[in-house]
Amino acid sequence: MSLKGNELGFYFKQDEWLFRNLNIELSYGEILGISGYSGSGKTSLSRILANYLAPIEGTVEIDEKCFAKNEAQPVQLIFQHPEKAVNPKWRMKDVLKESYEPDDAVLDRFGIKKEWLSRYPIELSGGELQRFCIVRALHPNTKYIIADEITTMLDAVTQTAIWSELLNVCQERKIGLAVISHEPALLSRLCDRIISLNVSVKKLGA
Amino acid sequence: MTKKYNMRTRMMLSLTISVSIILLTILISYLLSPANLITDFTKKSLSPNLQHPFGTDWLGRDMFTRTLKGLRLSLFVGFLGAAVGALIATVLGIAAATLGKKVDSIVSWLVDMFIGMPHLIFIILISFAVGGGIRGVVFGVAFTHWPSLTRIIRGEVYAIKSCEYIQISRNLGKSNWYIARKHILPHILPQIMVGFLLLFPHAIIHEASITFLGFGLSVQTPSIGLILSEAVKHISIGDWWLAIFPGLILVCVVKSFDNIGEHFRVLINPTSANE
Ligand SMILES: Nc1ncnc2c1ncn2[C@@H]1O[C@H](COP(=O)(O)OP(=O)(O)OP(=O)(O)O)[C@@H](O)[C@H]1O
Ligand SMILES: [Mg+2]
Repeated sequence: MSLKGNELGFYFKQDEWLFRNLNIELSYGEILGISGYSGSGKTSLSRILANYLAPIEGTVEIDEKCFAKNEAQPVQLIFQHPEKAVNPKWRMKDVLKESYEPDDAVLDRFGIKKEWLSRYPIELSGGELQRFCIVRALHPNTKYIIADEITTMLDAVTQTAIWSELLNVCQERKIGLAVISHEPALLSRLCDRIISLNVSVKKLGA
Repeated sequence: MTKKYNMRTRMMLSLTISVSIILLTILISYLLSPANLITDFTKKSLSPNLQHPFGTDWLGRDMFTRTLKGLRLSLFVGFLGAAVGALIATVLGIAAATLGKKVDSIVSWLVDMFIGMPHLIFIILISFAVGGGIRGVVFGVAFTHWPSLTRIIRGEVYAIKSCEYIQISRNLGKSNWYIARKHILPHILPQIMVGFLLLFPHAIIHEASITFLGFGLSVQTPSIGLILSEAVKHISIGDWWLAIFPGLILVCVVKSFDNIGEHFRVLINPTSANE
């Protein structure tokens, strides 16, 4: 069982391919690193894998099926910029509730304080917001998580804490996790396997 | 700093005045006794005095009472017209932005077609088509006044639709209806409110003008337009108060609504919100 991208190709401008013939596979419980310099198409790839963007070539399969309709997708994407990923007019508890009702244990794990729940997004720091986005992505349906540079705005200590918790949860629930980052150190510390978008993508498919 | 402060106080002051004018008009219109409207030839065509600040008409009816009660009716008709107009704009605007290219081009085409129409003529035609009276005026005003608000709402919805949090909502399995209700509608509600408030004065003026021209409300429903059109027949014999006071009050109330709408528009516009 796995999340599979077959022969993916994508561009924004006609014939300026960001990547082409890209094969990628993420299995249950696996932690996959995806690296690449800025502008190499990491975000575009993650959006394709999570049903936000249709690839120009190729297909995405989740456990041999297409994306589901009208139910929470098994693939959830955590965005690079958390402040854009929450409705600015909603309190944080409503943001979470849109996905599911997380219990206190989960909130505790990611260091979410009770009083943050009744605040609006602008009343939280980027790092605090990102924790909410992580918890929101852990919907009961979730089988794969794609984390697109989710800790770039955090200090080293918080970063470590958040990653270790996310890794733990993924291990417990056998969630496949794709870690996207341009920091090789972070990737090699966290991941079982790393692919790069930089050079000759064709050869580097999983 | 003081300048900003002044600006804010001035704005609040003018808002307060506008709102009070409207509320006061409505309140007084309810307090005035309908007995003042009974025909009484002993008081025929009195010019303004302490007992009848706006004078009396050729049937001896108190013009102050007639004006305020007429204005209340006009406000009611204007309210319905503006509300129906804003509703049409909201539905079409959201539909254009969310239901795909085809719907969008149809709505845009309709907007382009209706936006250049001479309002008065079409209000009269539509009013005729639906059978005149209050219903005629309401639909006439509503059907001619939705396009510009539709355009604004369509633009807003387009902008918010591509927001990440809406796409996330979709991938969390939420339906279009949920997204429209929970994300989009609250976001455009201020625009709808302002659009509605700015429609209001148009609706009142148009009601008055087509009733004045004889295509609107009937004699049984004495709106401000009807009062003005009756007054015209008597103004030539020197009863100037029959037209002047109702006209002035109409202008005041319309201006008040315009004022409120403009202020709200400035308030919700993020770039000028701090001014
Ligand atoms: N909506 C868009 N329209 C046109 N071009 C775009 C659009 N979004 C991204 N691009 C371009 O596509 C390329 C890849 O963008 P992408 O966001 O996938 O890169 P990235 O690897 O995630 O970069 P970063 O590390 O800076 O986040 C960039 O050169 C970017 O300028
Ligand atoms: Mg990116």
